[in-house]
Amino acid sequence: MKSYGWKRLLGLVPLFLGITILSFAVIHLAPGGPSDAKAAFNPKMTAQARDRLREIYGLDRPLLVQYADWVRRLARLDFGRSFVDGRDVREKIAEAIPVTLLINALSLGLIFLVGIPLGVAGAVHEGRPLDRVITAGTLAAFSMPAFWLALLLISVFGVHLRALPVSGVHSLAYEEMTWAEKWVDVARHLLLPVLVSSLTGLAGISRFARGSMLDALRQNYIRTARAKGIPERRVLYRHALGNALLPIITLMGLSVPGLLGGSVIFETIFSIPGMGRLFFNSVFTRDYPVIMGVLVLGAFLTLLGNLLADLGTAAADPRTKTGLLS
Amino acid sequence: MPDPALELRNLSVRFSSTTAVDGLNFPVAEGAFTALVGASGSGKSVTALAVCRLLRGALVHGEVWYRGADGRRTDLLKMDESGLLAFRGKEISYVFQDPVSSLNPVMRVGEQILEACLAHSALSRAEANRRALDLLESLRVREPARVCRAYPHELSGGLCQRAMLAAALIARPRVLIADEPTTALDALSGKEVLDLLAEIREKEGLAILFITHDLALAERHADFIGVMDAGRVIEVLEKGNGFAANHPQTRRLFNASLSKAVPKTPIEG
Repeated sequence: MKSYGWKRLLGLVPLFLGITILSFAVIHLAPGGPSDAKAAFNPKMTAQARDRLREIYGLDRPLLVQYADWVRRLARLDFGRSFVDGRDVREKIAEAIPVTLLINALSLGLIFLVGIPLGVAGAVHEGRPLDRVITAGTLAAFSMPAFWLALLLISVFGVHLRALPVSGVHSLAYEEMTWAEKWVDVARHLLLPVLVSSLTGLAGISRFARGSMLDALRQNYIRTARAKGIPERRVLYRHALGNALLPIITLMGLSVPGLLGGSVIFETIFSIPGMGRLFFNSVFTRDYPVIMGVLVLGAFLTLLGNLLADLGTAAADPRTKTGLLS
Repeated sequence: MPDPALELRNLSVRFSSTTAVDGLNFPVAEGAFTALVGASGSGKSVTALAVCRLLRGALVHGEVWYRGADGRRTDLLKMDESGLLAFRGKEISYVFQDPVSSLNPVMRVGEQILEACLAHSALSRAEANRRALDLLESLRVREPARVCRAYPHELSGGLCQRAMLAAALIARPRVLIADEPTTALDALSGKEVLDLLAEIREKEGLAILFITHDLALAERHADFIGVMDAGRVIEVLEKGNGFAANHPQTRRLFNASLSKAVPKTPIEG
């Protein structure tokens, strides 16, 4: 088990480097550059000044040299400085991460804690009214454009009912609040963003869980369990669910990178200063260090999530364990 | 024929568009080894599953009379869900065709053997465990403790089938329905399992309903053989008169039997 984990971890290194090479190449291939963003709309900018800028950023050197330089700094966990405001990229990311992480962790929790039971309930009551209601509900949720729903909810709860705040993460008076009030304030602000951003995923997971559970319920060992006369509860939740959850573990691992990936659309609609907006803005200004910083983080989490999914499945499924030991 | 422990009367099983069993009548004698034989698709497995209402999405009509140890008779098809739950595994239990897929892949074999015992008796876990180990030993499993700790994929097909047998026998049922228990096994382990079945019947005095497509295999231990064709039992053969067959379909089955075609004497050389 241990050696398997190490082998997998080592195997990720070339993959990680490959991702960075591709990202680096693609971004530099995109038309325009950081100097253009500053120069193009500035009538006082001369050609010499622009070349000077390119020199400062190191953009005049060959791409390969730039990449090697970037990797050398990355090895020391130095992501460089933003071309736009000269601040440390790590600092900029660290500012944007907490709110994104909070929203995504909450919505992932909601997705799995509500989606799986919904799907399992649907499978257990297959074809009966409860299943139909859940199926109709998840289908509607899945096909609804989330940005449209977000605007609708803002209009209903924010504008008409005035029950919930519609923008930002906390109120203006946040600093003067006691900690209990702060909690309530943040919760009220995050309610809609979390709801909206979890809806599609929730519907998807619930459909997946339903299918996985139905699959398990069709297996021969379920018939064996039923023939033993053990309580139906045990047949469903020990025999069937135990097997149905295995593929869901993989899905959980695959959603790890989603923890830090912010959505530009939601963050714009709800005015949340998160990772989505940071990335969007940095792409717009061709702020290479920030772009690469966010991409590297994403790549790292994706690979980590894959690894966790595999290790999790291996730990939960006895059939893979023998394969690992031998 | 001794009193039937189980009697199927005018049993019909319909799936949405097909009729699998069509007015079948068949007794399973108390404490005897009864075989139900027929070609694939003749409805024998469906009949077996219909007894304890283990079929999903099927319409089952007719009567399935079970005679308990106290002589009381109950129609299983009219029993309510909770009564049926107390019945399955306790009075009638099953062994299925493919032992590897019939065991839960993510549960230890021992746990699966204990289940019926824990559900139907007041035995503690430790006592049930003891009984499981004894049972496995009597089924000639060499390392019962290791088998209990193993997951199904770590065991051979023959060992899995013995574990299934142990799981079916642990609550001491009065009828064991074995649905082609040897079909998925190689000839040798198949024969061993079959001989074990006969031995268990002798020792425990339970009735066995053995489902197979192989007439010659059934002949080996059976006291009675019901021959099925197109959803009915067309003929019941008795050991007492040498399994004399009258029905042409029965003769056809006899002639087609593979085990019969294999020479019984060792090949020279």
